Amino acid sequence: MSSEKDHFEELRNLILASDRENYAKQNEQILAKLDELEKELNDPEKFAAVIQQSKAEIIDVLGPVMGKMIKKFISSEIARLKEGIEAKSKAIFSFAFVKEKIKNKLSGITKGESAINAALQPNLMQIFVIDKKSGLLIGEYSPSNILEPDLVAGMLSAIKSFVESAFGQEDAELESLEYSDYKILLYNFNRFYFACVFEGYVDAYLRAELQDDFLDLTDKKLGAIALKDIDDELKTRVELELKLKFDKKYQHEKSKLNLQDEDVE
Amino acid sequence: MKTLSKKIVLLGNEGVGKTSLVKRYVHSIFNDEYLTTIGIKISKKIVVVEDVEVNLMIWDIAGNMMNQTLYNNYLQGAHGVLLVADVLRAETYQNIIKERDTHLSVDFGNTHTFVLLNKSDLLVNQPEVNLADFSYDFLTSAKNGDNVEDVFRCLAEKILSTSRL
Repeated sequence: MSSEKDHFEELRNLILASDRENYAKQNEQILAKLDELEKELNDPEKFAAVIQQSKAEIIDVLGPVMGKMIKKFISSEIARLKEGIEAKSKAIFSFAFVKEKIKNKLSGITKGESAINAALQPNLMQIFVIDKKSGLLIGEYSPSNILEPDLVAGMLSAIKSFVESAFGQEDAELESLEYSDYKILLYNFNRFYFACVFEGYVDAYLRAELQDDFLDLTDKKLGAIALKDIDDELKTRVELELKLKFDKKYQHEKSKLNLQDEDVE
Repeated sequence: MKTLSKKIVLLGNEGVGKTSLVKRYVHSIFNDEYLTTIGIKISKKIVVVEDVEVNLMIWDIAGNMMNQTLYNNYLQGAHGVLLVADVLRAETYQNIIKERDTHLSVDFGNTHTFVLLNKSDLLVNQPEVNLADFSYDFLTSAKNGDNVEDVFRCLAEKILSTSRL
């Protein structure tokens, strides 16, 4: 039995010898290639060359993911630049600027720039946190309470649905609404969205700042809230977080404005 | 007292009296002008059920809504749906039953629905209308207010009973 096994082994060695040699050679080649590739990847210059050569493939893979982010970033930066230029040119020819110039001439105070900035400050009217699915109000923050929040939350959600389904772009969401001197900025998250009502001029800096505020608020405080039952307990909790976040900020802004006014007087 | 917010949607063909049903009994209503533009009118009604104040946000969807995606979006997150038909127009009843059986129960299975036969005040002069031909939850009249309060209260109760489970 054992001699039969030996013969079989011998036969197998004879038949497979050449194949084994080939495989061994191929393995060596593969290992050499891998070494080469590893060296290339660890060498910044060579890695750059690899990237350069595979540009099209990399764009195909990363393009859809990065595209939106880059597009958004570039448009927001362009908007900031544009608004900066516009705000400066508007300010130079504005009534407020001329008024401040005369005031400053008479009083001898030269704080034109700071006064113009004060004149351009937007006024926050209300912030809503709204359940995306049902359009129900989760909470609100009202420095100057002018609107019926439940109805506004519903109507905003209906308008949002209307615009988004009318233009039907995948993943696109309504980001702002304008009416007369009022601007409503919408910040969309997975289960809810924030709607901020401002009166006056809202620039790209403020938009970006609010985006950061809401990201922070969602990340640290509101991201995990349960929305099964939207009740007064949940509302109180959300409204407290909004108050903590925005009270200080807007009180601070207001006091800054008051100080500037006093300085000019 | 605890307060809860719930979303109610009103569906039914044009002219069945959805808007009239809501109009007399709600606490506040949004500007009517929006209706023609985006096909929706939103109003609010507060109903007290035992120890809970239920803040009902009522979405009145235009009967001629053509855009199916938008229509579905408006229905999203609804806790209750009132299907309204005109008791004198049998086709409006057939339409809401079809809507309930082929769409709502399939795509919005967890939503409570009530079938309302509206304009009951007009039945006095219509002996040929046989109510036994209909399967409904409430016979209502927006004109004289029959059963309207009951509809909202019962729906709120039904929604709350599920919510407490």
